Amino acid sequence: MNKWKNKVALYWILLIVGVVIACIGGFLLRETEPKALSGVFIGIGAGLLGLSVGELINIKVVNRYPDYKRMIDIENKDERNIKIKNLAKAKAFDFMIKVFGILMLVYALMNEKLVTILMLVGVYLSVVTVYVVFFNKYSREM
Amino acid sequence: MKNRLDEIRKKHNMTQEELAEKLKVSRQTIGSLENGRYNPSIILAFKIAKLFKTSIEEIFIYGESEENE
Repeated sequence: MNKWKNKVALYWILLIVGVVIACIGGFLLRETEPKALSGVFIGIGAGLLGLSVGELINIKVVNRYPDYKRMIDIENKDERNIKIKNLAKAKAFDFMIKVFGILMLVYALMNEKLVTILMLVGVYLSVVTVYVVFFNKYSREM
Repeated sequence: MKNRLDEIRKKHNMTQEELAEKLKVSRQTIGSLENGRYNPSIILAFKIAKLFKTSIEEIFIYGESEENE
């Protein structure tokens, strides 16, 4: 029950943060350079607002129907579902690594700006680093 | 891995839904286990064995050909 209350509190905070960020983007940063900054703030704010409102409605509906809540809990904790989810994630990760590699090569061949390529390489390396860190962590733990 | 879950469940007059409810897993998991498409974790295997008051070996049949699966 406490977990649910914490979740509700978290989404209320995200909702308020979303409204504040959207308002900053819409009113305070309207004339600020670069112009895209205002749009980025509105986008992030609206995203947070949408996410939190959706989750709060979901929590309210789920709490009204205990049987449905129990079913959702079982579905989320079901070991086969977790295994399927992890397998799908692993496949998506392998695919992403290949796509990133191809994208870096394409950008280099297109004579794209060095900054763009370096940013892409940075993102690629950060993803690979996270993989190596967790691989070592789980190797020690298991 | 082959298993006798379907046979044992029916012997206990239990539906897939009832077994899923008792084990706190989804009905699809029970279906996949019975069809042999999914091998349970050791914890779930113990839970199943405990529920039917038997041993894991009585339910799940290990074959040498499955060593590399």
